[in-house]
Amino acid sequence: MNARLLIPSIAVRSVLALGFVFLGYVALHERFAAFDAAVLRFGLDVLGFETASVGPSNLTVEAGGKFSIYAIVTGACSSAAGVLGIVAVTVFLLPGAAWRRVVGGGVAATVFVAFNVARIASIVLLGWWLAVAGTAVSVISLLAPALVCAALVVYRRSGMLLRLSACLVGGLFVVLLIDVVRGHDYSAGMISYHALAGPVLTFGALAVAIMFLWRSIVGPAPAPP
Amino acid sequence: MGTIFNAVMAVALLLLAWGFAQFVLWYRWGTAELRRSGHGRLRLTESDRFVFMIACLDEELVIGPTVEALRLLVPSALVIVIDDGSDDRTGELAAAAGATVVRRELPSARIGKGPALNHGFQTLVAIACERGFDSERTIVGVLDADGRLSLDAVSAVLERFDRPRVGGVQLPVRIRNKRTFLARMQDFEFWGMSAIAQMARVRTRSVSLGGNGQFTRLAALESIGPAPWSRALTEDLSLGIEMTLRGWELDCASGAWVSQQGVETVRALLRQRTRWYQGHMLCAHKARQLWESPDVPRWTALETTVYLLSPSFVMLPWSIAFTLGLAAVVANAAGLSAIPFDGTEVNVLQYAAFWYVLTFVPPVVMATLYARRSEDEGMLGSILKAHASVFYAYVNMAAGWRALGRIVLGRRTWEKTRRVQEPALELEEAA
Repeated sequence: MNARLLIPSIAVRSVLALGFVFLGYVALHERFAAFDAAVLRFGLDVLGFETASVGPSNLTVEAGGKFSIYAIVTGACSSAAGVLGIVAVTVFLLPGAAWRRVVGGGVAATVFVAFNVARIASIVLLGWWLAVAGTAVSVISLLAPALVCAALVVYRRSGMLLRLSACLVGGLFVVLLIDVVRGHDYSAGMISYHALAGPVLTFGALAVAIMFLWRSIVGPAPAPP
Repeated sequence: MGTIFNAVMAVALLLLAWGFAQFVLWYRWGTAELRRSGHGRLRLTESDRFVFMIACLDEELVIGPTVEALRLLVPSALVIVIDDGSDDRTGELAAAAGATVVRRELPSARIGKGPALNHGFQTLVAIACERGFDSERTIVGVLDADGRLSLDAVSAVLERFDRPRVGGVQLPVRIRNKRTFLARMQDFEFWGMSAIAQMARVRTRSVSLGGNGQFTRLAALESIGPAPWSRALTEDLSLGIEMTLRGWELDCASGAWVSQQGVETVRALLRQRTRWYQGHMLCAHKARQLWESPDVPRWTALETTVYLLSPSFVMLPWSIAFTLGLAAVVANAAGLSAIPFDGTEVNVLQYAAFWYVLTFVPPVVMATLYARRSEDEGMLGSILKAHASVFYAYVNMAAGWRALGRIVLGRRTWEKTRRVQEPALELEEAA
């Protein structure tokens, strides 16, 4: 093998970073899931839900007599991928002052965990809302943001990224509307929301965390020349 | 199996997020630069000099019209053609068109574009001394033998060099011979994503210099030494980094362009891209120097590092993750497997929608820009090209793996891109 590959080059750093994420996920995803479940349970308790732990990352959530679910925080749903990704980028990939990387990486990882738990909690909150609100109120509450999103998509002065985001979010509300109109089953709405919004929100949060990390290492973005 | 698949998806998530973060910055900064840039307004003054250098090996099909076009566009320019040991009539045709021809003979010829340009640079320096050129006001343009400048290129480039710290300016590239699907896809690639990325990098002063439409200040070249271009396979990328290390800024003349021939076969495209990726990967070690240099702003260092990381950190691993994800969707749709996604069997349509959005939306966004900037492409055609570009990217992925293999095996031979004969009408229009 060419000796060039054995020195600490960018190629080697890339392999180390990606290997760290892969192996870290295999080894730690259950721990991350358990941690996220514990934080989630704490947050839901604060919000007034009645929760009980059934296993390391399994819990039951109830609110009154209308809402009762059995929730599982899986490894894929946990903050494992995001946190490991941020750590990998911070440790293996980006040069720059160590203290900037540590602070930036630490803040980015913390914000990502908080966002991910909030994302999971939002699934519960959506289900609770669909369970306790009547059909008419549910339809109105989903239709209103869908229309706002549609307006942003067609508004001429919206930027491309805003239009794109509005299109995705609006589409999600439309899917939820279909679920409600079809049978008003809160669990169906939760499954749709989880499957459609979950990966995009996780990925978006990680992208924002990476941009934050870049900025923390090099400072504010430069002005045009 | 489920855990392994999810671990691969965790890696894919990082790659996607990293790539998306880069895309968002490039899109925001690139479109801002596009709005800001106009056609160049500066005209050549007495003290401004333009020198064009064209390294040629067997370019008789295209070199004559290229030199003629340059002399029409900038009559006062000095055109130096470096004949790198051609077997055909390249030197003769270039001289007949009005170029100063410098001939290299074997065994020193045909060892790469960098050494050929350095040979021409020695001639340029001698002429500059003799005629008293001001090295701060002398602009050296490097073109491919098939390169044609847009009418406003000179004034647009001059305007960028009006800032004294600018050492290099790159023109966006367009493809001229859009007769084949491959050539049209290259135009979509260059005039779409690549051009917007270059415009975005104006913000970080880290525009990547290319082998065609590359303009440098003579003083900046002299600050590197008597042989500014390295023997790297991507001597242009290497030159840009060397300039950055010496505190020069790199800019892009966003409103103008240089056109060139696109390759017309998959084999030729693979060969061209392999050379590019091999050179790109071999330049990546310079990232460290950027961070250590006190003359390099941190954003410049970061952006260049992210750019240098692209093949090894994003493209090669993504080629595996994307293919696995695609295979999982297809296998699931065919009823061969259930996707172990999120611990549950998620509806394959939802999973496919997720992959579709993440995979195709960025090129579709670029397609809308491309359609607006292209006079011969409609919105629908551009959006179809955006979808095709995801699969066209497999050529780049194959080239990336081939380049890695060549690095491992220590192969560094120079595989030159061959030209095609163009119809006379196209050449006249380009001129």
